[in-house]
Formats: sequence, structure tokens, C-alpha cells
Amino acid sequence: MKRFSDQEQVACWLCDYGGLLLGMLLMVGLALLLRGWLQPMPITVPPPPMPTMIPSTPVLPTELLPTRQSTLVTIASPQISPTPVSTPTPSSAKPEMVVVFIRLNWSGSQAEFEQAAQEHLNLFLSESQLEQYFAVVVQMPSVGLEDADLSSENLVNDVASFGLLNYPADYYIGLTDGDVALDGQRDVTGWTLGPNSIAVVAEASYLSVTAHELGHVFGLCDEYSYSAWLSQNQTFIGGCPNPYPSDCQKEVGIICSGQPTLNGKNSIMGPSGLDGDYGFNQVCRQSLAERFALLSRQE
Amino acid sequence: MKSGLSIGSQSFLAMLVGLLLGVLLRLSILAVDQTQIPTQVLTPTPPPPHQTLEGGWKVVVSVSHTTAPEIVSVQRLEQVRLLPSTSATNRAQLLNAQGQVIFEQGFETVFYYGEPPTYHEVVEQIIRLPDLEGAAKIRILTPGGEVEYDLVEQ
Repeated sequence: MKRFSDQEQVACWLCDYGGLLLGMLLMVGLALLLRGWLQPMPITVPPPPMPTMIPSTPVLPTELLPTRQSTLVTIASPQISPTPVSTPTPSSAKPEMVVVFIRLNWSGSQAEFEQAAQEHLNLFLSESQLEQYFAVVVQMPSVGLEDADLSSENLVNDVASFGLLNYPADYYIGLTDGDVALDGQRDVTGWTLGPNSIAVVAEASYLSVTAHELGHVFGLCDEYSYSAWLSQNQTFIGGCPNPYPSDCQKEVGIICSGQPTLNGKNSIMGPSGLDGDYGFNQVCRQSLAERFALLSRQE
Repeated sequence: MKSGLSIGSQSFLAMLVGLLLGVLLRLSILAVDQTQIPTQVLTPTPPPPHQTLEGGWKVVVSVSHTTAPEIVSVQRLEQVRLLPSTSATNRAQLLNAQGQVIFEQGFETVFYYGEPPTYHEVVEQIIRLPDLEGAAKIRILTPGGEVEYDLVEQ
């Protein structure tokens, strides 16, 4: 029997199994090539829950609890969570906006307060279409500011401070059956600090005032005075979205009734106290819709 | 005597073993990729808007056109709600002990306010901030300057 040399043995092995070896190398090469095409999707790790966040309904002292929820109110179901975790709102659901009416030197009954607050709220909600963007939650607690200085230039901040300390909310509306007289001007029926303010004050006897002041909070300008409109146009970020009515004179002291709505209602951004119904005109509505869309984003 | 495998058998075995090696290789690469995924996010995620959060700060700020802002008062809140932060001229920040910004909220100051609006040289504003773990300072930045408030004293 012939004995092969080492070189011959290697050559014979290659003859017998070379195809197998070559095939294996080709398959490994193919696998490496395929890896480039079939990269696994990046795996994202969700951020750990913030330890300080907990979705909950406001916890208030018993005597401060709201006595009645508005009929328009959407109440979020209480969520009981044993550990502090955040529960993100589903992207399809509307985010919640909490609005609290604060009794401001209110001399009437709680029922009268709630009725006035509801009427002011209804006008704003129906005219602004806010509920297309937010699930609006309204509270009308029976305890409010009783000895506020209605002529103080800190009145809006007083309402905001009281509200923040007692009722967690997005916006606070100080509603009074008294006479708001900023800097002693008794013809003032309400005021606010302008865009992004978290509080407004309003006299209950003028139905359109809360809507007017909330209009400012969401960026709208006055249409009753050219000088007022002009100063706001120069100081509001992006200027005034609603123009000063073209048919009104631009002279100091002239009171313009504002740009009426298409169906003939008085402009909410005009003066209060006019005969007839009030509404947001087309330009105001469009601007509010854009503002609400921006505010309702959930990140 | 022919001791080697036929070409057909060699091809079949080659594909089988190669496939096995390819699968093993791919699994090992995937395992390496997964070990590279960070398991902890070090930068705190800003709290989402439109929710009632446990703990917050009510910050009263005095803002002027020309001078640096002043923090008039800081008060802790049991609960707070935040709106989405939009780009703005002024900023309120929470800093950690290392001076890193862990939360930022933009805010605007309108120096004409009232009905009708009148000009005010200085405006007091209320800003709400979340009470985040690790927050050591509040910083307010305006075009007129900036001011910090030490939360550790609270």
C-alpha cells in the first residue's frame, strides 16, 4: 500500500473536501453581506419615569373644594397609583386644560357666582372653539379672595397667587360683582397682563369681559382703541394677529366698536357694554385656533 | 477506494454549515449591539405639560426693560400644572448642583398692560416651575441680565 506524503495528504483532503470548505466560506461571506442589508432596527430605551410626577386630581382642603362642576366640565377619572409615575395622555386624546374661577370680593351667593361664571365661560368656549383642542375642566370653588383691592395694579397677580397656592390649574379667572378700577379708572371692566398671563380679572355684569381678557392671554389685541392696538402691536411677540378695524378712525379718544363677526355680532375684542350679542370675528377665531393648536401639543 | 464526499453532498453540507455559521455570527453581532444601548438616561426628561405634577415653585419675578431681573419671592407649591414652553424672550431655568440646566421654560413680558394698556417700566410676573429632583437653583434670564436663586435655602 502506497503511503502518501504530507503534501499529498493535504492535496487529497482538499480534493475530497475542498468544495465543502469553499461553500462554507461563501456562505459566511454571504451572511456578512446580508448583515449590511438587514441591520436590526435601533432599539430605543424609554426614559425612566420622573420620580416627582404623579397625575392626580387636585388635593384641596375640604373647605376649599369646588362645590360644583360646570355642566361643560370634562372630569378626568381619578387615577390611583401606588408609585409616583407619569401617565402620558394618549396622543389621540385631547389634553386637559384646567380653568378655575376665583371669587373676587364676591358679595352674592355661591349659586349666583357659579351662574355668572358659567355664562362667561360659555361665551368664551362657544366663540373660541377651545374644546376642539382641549378637554376643559372648570372649577368654581366657594372660597376665594374676599378682601382684594380691586383698584390695585397687582390684582391679576393676587388672583394668580391665590389660585396657584390653592387650586392647581392652567388659568385663573378672578370674577367679581364689584367694580374693577385699575389705577382708579372705574370704566375698566377687566384686565390682564397680556399674552401668556395665567390670570385675568373681570366684572361679572359684563358678559364679554372674560372672553375679551382671555383673548389677550391667547395673543389677541384690542379693537376699541387705535392707541391700545398700536402699543400691543409693537409689544406683543409677532404683533397683533387681528387688525385694527379699517373703518375706525385712528385718533386718540375715539372708541371703535371693533370688527363685527360675519353674522353681525359685536367683536369680543371691542368694547364691553354694547347692545347685542358678542363673538370672536373671523380673524380672531383663526388666530385662537392656531394658538390652541400650539398649546395643545403634548411634549 | 474513494474516501471523499460527492460534490452534491459537499454542496449540501457547505450550505448547511455556512447557514449555521451565518446565524451564529448574526446573533453574536446583535448581542454586542444591545450591550451598547445605554440603560439609563442621565439627562432628566422635562415633565410633560397638561398634567398636574406633585411639587412646584411659584416664582415672582420683577422684570425691567433695562436692568437685570429680580426674584421677589419663591414659594413651594404642593401641586403645579405647566403649559408647553414656547420660544420666548425670557427664560426661567432650573439648575442642578453642577450648574447644568435640567429644566427650562420660556416666558414673555409685556410692558403695556391694563385696559387700555399703559406702559410700565417694571412688571412683576408669576412663573411656575416644577419641583424636580436635583434642582438646586432657579435662574431667570432676560435681555436685561440674569439672576439666580438658591433653592437649597428653601
